[in-house]
Amino acid sequence: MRRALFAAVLVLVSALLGGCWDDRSIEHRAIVLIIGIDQGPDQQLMVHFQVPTSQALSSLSVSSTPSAGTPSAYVVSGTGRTVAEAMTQAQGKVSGDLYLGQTQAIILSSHLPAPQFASVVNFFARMGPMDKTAFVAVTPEPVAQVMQRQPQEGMLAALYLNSLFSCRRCQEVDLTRTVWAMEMRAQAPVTAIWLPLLKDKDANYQVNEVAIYQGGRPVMTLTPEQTVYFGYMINATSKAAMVFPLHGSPVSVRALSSSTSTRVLAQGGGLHLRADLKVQGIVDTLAPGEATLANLRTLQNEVSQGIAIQELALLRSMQQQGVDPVGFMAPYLWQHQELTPKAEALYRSASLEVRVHTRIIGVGDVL
Amino acid sequence: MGRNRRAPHSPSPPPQPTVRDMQGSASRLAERLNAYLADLAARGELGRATGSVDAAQARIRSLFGMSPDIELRQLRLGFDPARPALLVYVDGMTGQDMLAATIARLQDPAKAPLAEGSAEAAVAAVQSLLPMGGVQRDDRWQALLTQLLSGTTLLFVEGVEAAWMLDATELPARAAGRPQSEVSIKGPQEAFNEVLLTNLAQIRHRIHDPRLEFETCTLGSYTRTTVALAYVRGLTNPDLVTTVLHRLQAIDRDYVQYASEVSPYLHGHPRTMFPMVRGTERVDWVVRDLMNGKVAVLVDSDPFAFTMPVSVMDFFQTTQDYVFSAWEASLVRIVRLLGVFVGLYLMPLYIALFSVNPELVPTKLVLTVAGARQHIPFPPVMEVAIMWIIIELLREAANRLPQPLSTTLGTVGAVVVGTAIVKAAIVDPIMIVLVTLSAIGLYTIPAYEMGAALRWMFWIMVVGASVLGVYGILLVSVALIGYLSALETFGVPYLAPFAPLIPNQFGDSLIRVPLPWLQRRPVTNRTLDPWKSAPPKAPQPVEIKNLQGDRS
Repeated sequence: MRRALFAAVLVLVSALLGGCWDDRSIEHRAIVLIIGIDQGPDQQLMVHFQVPTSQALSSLSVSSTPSAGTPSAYVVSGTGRTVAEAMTQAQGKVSGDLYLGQTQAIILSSHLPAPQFASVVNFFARMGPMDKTAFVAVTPEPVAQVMQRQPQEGMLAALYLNSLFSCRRCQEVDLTRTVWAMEMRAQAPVTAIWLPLLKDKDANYQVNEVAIYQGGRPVMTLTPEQTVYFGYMINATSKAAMVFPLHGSPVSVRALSSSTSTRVLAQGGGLHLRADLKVQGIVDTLAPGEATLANLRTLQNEVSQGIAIQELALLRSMQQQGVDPVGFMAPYLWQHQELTPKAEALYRSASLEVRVHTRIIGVGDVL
Repeated sequence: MGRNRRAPHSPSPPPQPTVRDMQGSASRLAERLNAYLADLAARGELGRATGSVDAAQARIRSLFGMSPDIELRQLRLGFDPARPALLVYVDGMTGQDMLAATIARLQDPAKAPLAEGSAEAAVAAVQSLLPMGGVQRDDRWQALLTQLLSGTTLLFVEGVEAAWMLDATELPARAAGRPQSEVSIKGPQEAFNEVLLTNLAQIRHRIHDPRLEFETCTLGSYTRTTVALAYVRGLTNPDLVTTVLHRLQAIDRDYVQYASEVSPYLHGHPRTMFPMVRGTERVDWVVRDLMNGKVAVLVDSDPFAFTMPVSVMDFFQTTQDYVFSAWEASLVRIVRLLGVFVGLYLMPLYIALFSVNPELVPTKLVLTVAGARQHIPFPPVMEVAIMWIIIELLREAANRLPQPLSTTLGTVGAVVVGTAIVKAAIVDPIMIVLVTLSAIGLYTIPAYEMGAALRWMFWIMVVGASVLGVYGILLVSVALIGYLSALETFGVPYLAPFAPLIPNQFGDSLIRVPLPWLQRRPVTNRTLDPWKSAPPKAPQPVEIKNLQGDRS
């Protein structure tokens, strides 16, 4: 009898303390798929929450496409000094509970001042329901406008972005950035955060550039070409292609990917930064008679030289800006913490070296 | 105390006895007393037959009144002088042909030897006329009446202070049929029936060894039901046999009709919802368990026997596992266990994931479910309750109806109710899929009694899921595993061979290895002979020669 009573008390206490009473089933929640954060009036934040419409949900449940012209999602906005305050204001505009547990993407305006950017990063670091796997991107355009955009493929924008960033080897460069990765790098000295830049092209999303942040503000933006070379450096390239002349005719090397290791060497009071890239790719435009060992060696050297020159130029431009998104300095500073205060100066004055070793692993069907 | 307790809310007071009723009762009492007095006067005690046919008839009449099934037939035996006799039997439990032949022999003067008038001579004469086997003599009324009600025919002869008990029993019984609840595609198709002797013979037919033993006892002060304990001497642990026998003999009940009335007294866990004995109607299954060192208990009038001790894997094994190849058996067994997990966890997970922890679900699935649930007025836990109640109602109704009607009901219920309830937006279409899968999953368990326990566990899981989400499911699972780990019968852990870990019993658990590799009996049964078979030897290659010579 006492054991039964004890068990009953345990069950009751579990039920009361479990917080089940404020649980809402999924249909009573306004499922936020994208959060957009822009600059608001009076130094405030304007936060937008994209929620799928009931028509879009219905069409998903019966495996049909929503009728043309029908918006698949609506955006609720709120302003406030913090994201939480803005969210409270937005909550008053929807009947369901604004639920962030399924947030797929966070789109930040590149015009956010540094304190607001830091406040946003801090908010997402402490947001309980989010599992920090949401993708982060920045945009120079008005965020509300970006969130209203409908992907050409007809699906929800969040699902499009999810598909875009989830498939690591589908794009030329994998520019996936999650809340978790952003948090990890936000506090490290010298180390900069890179975020994919979301732009509009023909009313569709385009992601082929990178914005590099330091201290909460965008320091530089890489062009699409620089982004590819940056991709080699951070091992994120999987479908890159380059064209080189061989005996007067162009030869393309595709499916280029790299494996990069970085080293920091102390040299006479300064630092020497070295990047070793092992690049591999496939040649498939060689004429049948040209697939010789000598030609392939020539091609490999061409690729190595081409990449090395571009990489060195990119690294120098980043060095001049004092940003280290590649992460040369972090492992060195772990071992030499006393150098942390002058880390930026050391980085700026360091000599740079890039070594590229290319290997052609296939010549199409001709082996 | 409980037997005499009146119903607390009886609709009307019991009718008052009239004078006529009281007269009737007094007259029956007087008749009974007179019968006893006759016995008392003749032998000075009430418990033994007196040798008077009239007194015996009065005694039986006083005990049974005018019960139509108790037949009393007065005879005059073909002696010189003819001697009165009384034949008593229960109509419907006695073979009429055998009875007629016996009566004819007793009344035939040509076959009757000369009687000298003494009781000894009469005994000898009657004895010579009766068949050789199945005849006993006793003078104790208690023994005589018990045998009479078991189908034995009593023969009282004037002047003989005892009665013959003739085994002319022919109990009403159906033929041994096919198993209804444990169907197997291949293998033996023989089930027990309601007659204990037939059931024992069926077991004996499969184990031609004198070490197969049956211990019997009688249970039920009214029903006097025979219960048999079967085991194999030299194989089954004697401590197990002794313990079960003692527990059987200690049962004190008014009546025993079913094997399931006996089992709770034996396994020592009457309150647990999990089955502690393996009930079966299959003869081959009882034989298999006996050969694994278990004991079987068979109850007269119940075609279901049970074997013990058990572990949880016993409820997932069927005859089919041993008549097909190891690959087939292993696959089917894995499917059954998968069915249990699906049945037990699918709907609780649905509740947990879509009520409490939607952040754990892939986005596309969340959106799909959210779309399907938009116009549903109930939370997922209520949906589950509604659908499960419908399933249970359909199942119970199908059990009560004859087979053709139950099939129709099942189809109608599944199609019409399922379609209508979705169209009425009471539950969402995904719920129909989940309920169907859960029900199918739980019904893949071969042992019905385990299915019932898991259906209870399902509800506990549902409560855990709706209160604490996925954490609640894990909590209930841990508690369940803990409880089952602590459960044991006759020293056999319920979760064996997984807890405790007994690797050499794995071969017949989640999978079934080829039979030659199953050399050992389950060690948890602590058998006297642990080996079932010798280690398999690799066959020597044999060249089959052409005996007709080389024609080329």
